[in-house]
Amino acid sequence: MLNKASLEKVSCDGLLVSSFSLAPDTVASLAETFDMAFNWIEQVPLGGASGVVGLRRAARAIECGDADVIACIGGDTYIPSQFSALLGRFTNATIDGVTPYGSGGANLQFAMLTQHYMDTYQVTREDIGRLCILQRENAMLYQQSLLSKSLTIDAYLNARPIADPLALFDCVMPCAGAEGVLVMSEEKAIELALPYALLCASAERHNASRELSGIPLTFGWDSFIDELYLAAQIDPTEIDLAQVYDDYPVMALIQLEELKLCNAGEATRHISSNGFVPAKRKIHINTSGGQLSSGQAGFAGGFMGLTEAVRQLTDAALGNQISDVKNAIVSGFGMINYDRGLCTAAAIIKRL
Amino acid sequence: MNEIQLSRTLLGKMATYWARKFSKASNASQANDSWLLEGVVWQCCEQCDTVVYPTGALCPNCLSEDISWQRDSSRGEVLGSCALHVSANETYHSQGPWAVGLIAHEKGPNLYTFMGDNTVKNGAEVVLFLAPDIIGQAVFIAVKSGPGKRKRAEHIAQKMAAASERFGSR
Repeated sequence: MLNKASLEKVSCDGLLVSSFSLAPDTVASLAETFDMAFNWIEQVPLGGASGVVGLRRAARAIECGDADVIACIGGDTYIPSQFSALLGRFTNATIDGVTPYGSGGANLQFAMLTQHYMDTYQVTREDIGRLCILQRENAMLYQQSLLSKSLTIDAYLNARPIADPLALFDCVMPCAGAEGVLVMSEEKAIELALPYALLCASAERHNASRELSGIPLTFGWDSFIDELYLAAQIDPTEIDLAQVYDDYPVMALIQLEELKLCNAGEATRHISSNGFVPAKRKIHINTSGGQLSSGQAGFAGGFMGLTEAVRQLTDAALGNQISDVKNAIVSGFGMINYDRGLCTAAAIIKRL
Repeated sequence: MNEIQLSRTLLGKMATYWARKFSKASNASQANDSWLLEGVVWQCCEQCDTVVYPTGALCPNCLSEDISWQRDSSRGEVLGSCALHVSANETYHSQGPWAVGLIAHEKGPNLYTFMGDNTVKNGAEVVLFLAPDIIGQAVFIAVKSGPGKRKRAEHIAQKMAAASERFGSR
């Protein structure tokens, strides 16, 4: 990031990181690893919500004058035995109340959510498959994606079962990797002559579904989304690009709906080989293929949508550059403490 | 390896202690390492009667630390179920698929459980049992209510006992 921005280390005075595999080191250790001094450091452990929440934290620090240039990075290594150990012992509630029941990892919770979504909205596996195929097509155009073979509906439907109704192509491919952005004031970006996108508004809500019994179908974006569009002075019908957190296809669909880009339960109706086209207007989604087709590098997954949105808005996409993208909504989700994801966040970013 | 993967928290281990204790009380002739208890065992707040599940150190409702282990009813309703084909645990993985359910207990909490069979539909009434899993720790088993419920629960408990013997993990 420093190279790309032609910045010396000394010009970056803030650091925010999110990582499962950094421990026992912390963001403090990284000050010595990088041999840098910081006025502001932060570590955000919110899974797939870390990117958007991290952006919010960094933006507030810049606004308050606590730092001038903050590097926000999500990154993880991937060691299979560590990965399944992590999943099985993710939280105390998971250790005592979930893992003992077959050690299925997060596949268990999302299999049940997927089935509930399908039953409630009469959505079939074939409908969901269209999203996976669309994201794979995006991934095939993206330099760094790990899955770049064309995906057919037959391959999707006949894939190896994982946890009914989820099969292989409903699950992300864990990998090593990192994603990051530099956050600063607009004045600073101009001073440094850097291409930039503007953060218009952002919001977060955690454990919003606490009063929902059964298996919830909404997680928190719906509690702030109207205010978010108002604050950004953008209507959902004007959104060009949506980067939604796709740990599982059902979550991508639920986000498109809770972000009011289409009605509840209807996302798959608007997905075809032409893309996601609700209300006769195409909204580009997960343009780098998302985690489902590019890979999920742990916490970096939470930053993937953010970096892709910034690249698209600064004409710097690593493949699949969309033309005329004026704005983007980025959404994050994470932290299943027991039976449901708790953290939701979203940000609206626009081209200058 | 199973031991490390599946070991419970300190409070989780207490659940097994109390489940075994209650099961001895209701059937004194059961052998030491094989038991089956109808009903649930969990923590309950002494101040406001709220159930604390999964295990916890304080009441999520009133935040009191006055919580104690109690036995409770066996009734619940199916919210969802899932056949797990792939498991991070080599024993469950090779003996699969395992049917796992999410049950709404009549007292409020949602519980993950093993399912007596795959065909129990959402909304169906189930009966909850506790039995030792492949490392001897208490797990819930949900079965269709009605005659033969105990046999249905025993079947799953025996499947786990057999799996644990094959892989020597108890």
